Amino acid sequence: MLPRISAQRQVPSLSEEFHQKQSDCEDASHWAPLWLGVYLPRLALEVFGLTDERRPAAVVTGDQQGRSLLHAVSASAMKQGVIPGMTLTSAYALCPTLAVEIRDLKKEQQALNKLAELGLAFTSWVSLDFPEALLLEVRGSLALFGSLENLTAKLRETLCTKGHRICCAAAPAPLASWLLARSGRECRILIHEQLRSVLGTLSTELLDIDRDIHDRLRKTGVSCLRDLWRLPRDGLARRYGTRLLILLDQAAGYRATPLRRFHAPPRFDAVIELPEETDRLARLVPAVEMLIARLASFLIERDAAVAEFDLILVHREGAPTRLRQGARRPTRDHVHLMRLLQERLDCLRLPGPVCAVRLFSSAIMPWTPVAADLFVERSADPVEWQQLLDHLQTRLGTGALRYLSARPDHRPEYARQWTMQPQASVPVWTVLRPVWLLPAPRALSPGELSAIFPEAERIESGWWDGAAIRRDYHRAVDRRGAKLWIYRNSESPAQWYLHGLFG
Amino acid sequence: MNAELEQLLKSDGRIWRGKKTVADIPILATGFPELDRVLPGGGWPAHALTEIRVAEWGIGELSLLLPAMRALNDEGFWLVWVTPPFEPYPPALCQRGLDVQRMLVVDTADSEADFWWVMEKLLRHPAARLVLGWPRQIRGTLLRRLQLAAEEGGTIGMLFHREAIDSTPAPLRLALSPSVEGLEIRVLKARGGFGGAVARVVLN
Repeated sequence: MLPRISAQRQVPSLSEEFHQKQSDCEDASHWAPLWLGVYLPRLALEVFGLTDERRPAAVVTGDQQGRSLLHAVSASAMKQGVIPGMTLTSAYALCPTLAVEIRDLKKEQQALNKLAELGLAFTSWVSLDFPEALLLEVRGSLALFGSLENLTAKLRETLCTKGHRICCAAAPAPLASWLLARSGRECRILIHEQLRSVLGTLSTELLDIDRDIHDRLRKTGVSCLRDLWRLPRDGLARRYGTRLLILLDQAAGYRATPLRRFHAPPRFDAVIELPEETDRLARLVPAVEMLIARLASFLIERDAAVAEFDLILVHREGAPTRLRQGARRPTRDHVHLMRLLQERLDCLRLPGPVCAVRLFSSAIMPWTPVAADLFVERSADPVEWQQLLDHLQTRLGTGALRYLSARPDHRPEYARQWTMQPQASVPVWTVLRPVWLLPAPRALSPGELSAIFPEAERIESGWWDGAAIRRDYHRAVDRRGAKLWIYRNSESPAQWYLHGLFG
Repeated sequence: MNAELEQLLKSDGRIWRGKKTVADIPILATGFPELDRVLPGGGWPAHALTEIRVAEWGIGELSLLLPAMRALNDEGFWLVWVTPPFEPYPPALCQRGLDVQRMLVVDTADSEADFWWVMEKLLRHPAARLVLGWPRQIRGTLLRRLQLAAEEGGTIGMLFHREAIDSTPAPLRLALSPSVEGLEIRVLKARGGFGGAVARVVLN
């Protein structure tokens, strides 16, 4: 008897579970990904800080014909009739006070990367695959935030504090959410079937396709996506290419859009609390060594190298002492890093006793080993050379190491250049120049020269940038036998100036 | 002296020669045959420190080094200037066939200790094959350290100064003075040779 009863009891519960599962399958949209498209309409302006509403501003890009076209326009410029896509000259004609910057894609990407890191607080899947936008998969986070509205509001709050204006739209297909966000229509579509009807009214201009195809579509009288969906597919593919069809399918959710995940860059952060407070640097060194060793193993595990890091000495009172140390070439050599830090610590004056040491780095990048030269057998190790230069620079300060390069300018002062990195030179001079140049020309007294060679070189240049010169250069010898390069201005031929030495 | 005679003299161990030829020290040709003739080994000592005393900056001390600089530059070595008295002028260096991309200027901002530290670090590294330095003051003990560093790194160190000092540990000491059409070079001291030789070179 007993087993039968238990069996009877089990039957209804099993069937309940079955029904539950079936209803879940019917409502598959509960589990399908839901994408929140976050479009930044003014990103190009925001990266330059051109967010003031009252000041007309625009960002330009070059097109294939070499014209400068406006890419983004501020609201106040828009009021004066300036619109994106306009040439720069016509924009200036409408609004002479327009502040213009050249579009900086690198800056935009950096800004997006920062925002994507913030986005990771809302979902584990943030994608930067669409231009000027973040795409967040939010289905899994809805329960946490209560509703999509709450999540969107929090996200908007977070991004707005960073000075960005955003448009958000949610849709089950990533491209659809991006298109809606880009159009400025802040709506939420939860099921696939609604996609086509909502997207249908969007302009085809929003699609990320060639300018040429946009023009041709406009000429055919196609203005919105609905018009495109009404056209026969084979004809569309033949006339405008298959990419347009693929985009249409992706927008309507018929075709999956594979998206890459954004991963936050790795960071190293480690703290060692000292057993007792100390103001003696010698006591700090073991702790710093330990941190550097940890950093080195962290880097080796990830096959990475560090370009810059901060050593922070925490005091019980007052602000911590912060030492920022960079390397010319990303490295993971703990001996080298320790040598550099030792150099910094040696010339450090502590404001008070140190209670903890912290090492922090966010500049962690992939490790690229140096390729050895197959044919040069006995060449010095370039990595060691860079490490030596790092060491010199750390001890002597940033401006202590300089490279030389020549610039094509006739004025002697402007023909040289000091750089922080080696640079190629373009020599254009024919008359022999002196090996030494004085930092500034020095007036010579008449008794100093013993002979002046008669050949003169007239250098007359620079009238366009306010540093015009008109000088006659001669070679000369002074009383002690030094070979000089001297000149006189054509206005005052009596006064000679020393400008260089032939060394 | 022709090569055959040299060979003959070397082949017989019983022959003793008063002026010992220093064939085994590595050298770098100076590019001036007149100067090569008076230097032991026939060129700049390649793993050593050379001290050059000049009467005045700009009499041609750099022109004397240009052929050697060019040779090292062509091989892809770095050339370092440590606290030069004036700015090396890149257009001029380009005109003389040097690759300024392989030149580095180090400024030690008036610190004497840093100057010697930098010189030693650079001389110890084989990539900086030629290091030119302009010290404020010549100090014997520090010069010995530089000499050891140059030997270890296989590099050439050149120190320029204007002081008249009697003796220093540098293996080669030269004094330069201007002559009518170039330079007069007096060898004050040379390892493996006698001091006192004089060479006159013509500089263009």
